[in-house]
Amino acid sequence: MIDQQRTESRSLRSLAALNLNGPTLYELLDVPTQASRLQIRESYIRLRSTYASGSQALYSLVSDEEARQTLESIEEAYRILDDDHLRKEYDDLIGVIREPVRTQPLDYGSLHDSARMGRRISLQEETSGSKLYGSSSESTDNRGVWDGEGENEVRTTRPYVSSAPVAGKIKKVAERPTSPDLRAQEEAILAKPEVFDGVTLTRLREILSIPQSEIQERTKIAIEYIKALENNDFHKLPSLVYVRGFLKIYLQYLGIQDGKPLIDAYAEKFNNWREKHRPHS
Amino acid sequence: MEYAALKRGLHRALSTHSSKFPHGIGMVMFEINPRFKQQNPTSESELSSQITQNFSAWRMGLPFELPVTNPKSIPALIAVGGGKGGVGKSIVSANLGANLAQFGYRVLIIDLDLGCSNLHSHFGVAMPKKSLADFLLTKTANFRDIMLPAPVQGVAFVAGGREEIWGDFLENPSSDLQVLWDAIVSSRQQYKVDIVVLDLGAGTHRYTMDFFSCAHLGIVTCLPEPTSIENAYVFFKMALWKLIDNLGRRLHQTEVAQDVKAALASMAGGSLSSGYATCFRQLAMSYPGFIQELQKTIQARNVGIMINQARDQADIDLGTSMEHICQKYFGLPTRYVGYLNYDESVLKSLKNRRLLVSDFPHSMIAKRLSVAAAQSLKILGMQRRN
Repeated sequence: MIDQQRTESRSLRSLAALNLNGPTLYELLDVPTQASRLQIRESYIRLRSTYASGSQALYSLVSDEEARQTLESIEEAYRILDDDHLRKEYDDLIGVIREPVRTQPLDYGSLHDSARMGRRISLQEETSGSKLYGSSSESTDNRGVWDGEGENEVRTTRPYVSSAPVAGKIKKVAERPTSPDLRAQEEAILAKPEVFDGVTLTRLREILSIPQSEIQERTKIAIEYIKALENNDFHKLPSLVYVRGFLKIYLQYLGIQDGKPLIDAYAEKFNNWREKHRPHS
Repeated sequence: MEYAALKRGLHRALSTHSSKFPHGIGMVMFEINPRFKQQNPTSESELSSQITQNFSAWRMGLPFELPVTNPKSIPALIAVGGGKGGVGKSIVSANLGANLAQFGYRVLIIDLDLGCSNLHSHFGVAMPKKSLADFLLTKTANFRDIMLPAPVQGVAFVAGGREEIWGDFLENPSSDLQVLWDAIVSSRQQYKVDIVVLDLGAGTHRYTMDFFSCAHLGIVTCLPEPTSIENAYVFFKMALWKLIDNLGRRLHQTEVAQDVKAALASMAGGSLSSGYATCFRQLAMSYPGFIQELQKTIQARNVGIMINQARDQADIDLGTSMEHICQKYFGLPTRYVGYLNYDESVLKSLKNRRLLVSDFPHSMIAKRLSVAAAQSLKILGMQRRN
């Protein structure tokens, strides 16, 4: 805690002690003022190797002493520009208006001790309660990334992964229809298993208002086969045993308890077509 | 294989076109490949935007008189220089030229290492009878006679000539190189040459810098070692001074040019903050017009850096570092054209007396040369033709 406070006060002091008459930090790092954090980092790595001791590129032009000073100022510039909150403060200081970053890909850039910085930001938020850090620090906060303080926190720092499948029990069956009207439609189809084919299969799916992609995702049937099943494109389908298997898990996912008569009806149609078109297969 | 193709082409050219081209040798390599016949090099779409757009600014910094006023009638000029000797200038120019020819351009490579020429050895050819010395000094040959077919399709080269003839010339230069310049500039119209690669000599001799300041793209080759880097920086410096000189002459402001040079000499020192870039900024207050013109002429030229004999990643990164330093210190926008790795096949191909890229076409260095050629075309704003 004390250590954090010390680093915090040092950073503020150094920002105040910056020489505003010389080149800006952006000029020092050779980046445009709108540069992303990744661009700044790339430029910093390039410049660090340029001015590092033993770098050959400086030979005969720049003295060792000056290279060391330049390297120090580059380190300082990077330290400020890499920190979102310090950078914003600095931008205000020199009058740069920067477009706020809409998406939050910043977690990719947390390659060095940004976890520590993240915590420092939150500390300041508590103590000063300044409005400056209010909105931005929440999203750029890297706390917990390295600490593994809990599943919950990790997920809050990476909101963009929320669309990925939720770990745990996978939903095996689609939501059943609630309205009696839809139930009646489904019953009507199930009552006449002999006319079952791709069209009625599609109808069953549409009653539950499920897209084909969901079927594909849950049952792992390739989308081409789902389309072929529903369009009665028998020539695109594999052999009968696969077709039966596909229909079984498809109907299972739709939540139809007794799908056997339906599958048999479909298989019969498939067989008829096959005997007509591919008698020797 | 190249020899066979060359021989066949030579035979064909001599038998079918002997009446059309009495001095057929210079045209032979253009007759070999039917692909080249399909292209019309003077069509406007084929021209480099970079060269045509900056034509007037480029012209301002020329040391020679330019006989033509149309930017479309001059070939693209690539000069390969770089201070120190033995950094691979001739290897780069010969193989870069061969790669540019692979991309579908007609390339003429001229050995401008006056008095110390060995470009022909890189093509695996013995010292030719007709050379630049015959054209420039003894005047016994015209320019077409000295354009010799290289053992690569689409490439012609001009050999430097015997050293004993050049010896006297360099001692007391009687004629200047305007004749050669005229021949180079008119080579596009006369021989349909698209790109001229100038293989410059070591050091910062007057003629070397003359031709470097002419080039649309000046490539400075450099080894990753302190002596070579130091010489490369000296070369950049001399190129800047040459441009200031040329510009002073063009603008009829030689006094201003002298003043600027004197100011630069006194102000610039061994630190970044007192580099040429800073000096230019300060001088812009006293001579705003001149410095502005100078910036324009610098922008009209592209300076490329090429690292040769790179052995590890640090050597490769040296190019980007030098790019940065040149911008910071000299105020010279440079481009990293590419690097060549250290490769034994260079020596082997020289001993085999064959061109590197045709002797070891699958070696790493041939690949790097191809990348560098593509990058050079990109800098010049030209498209690959195949």
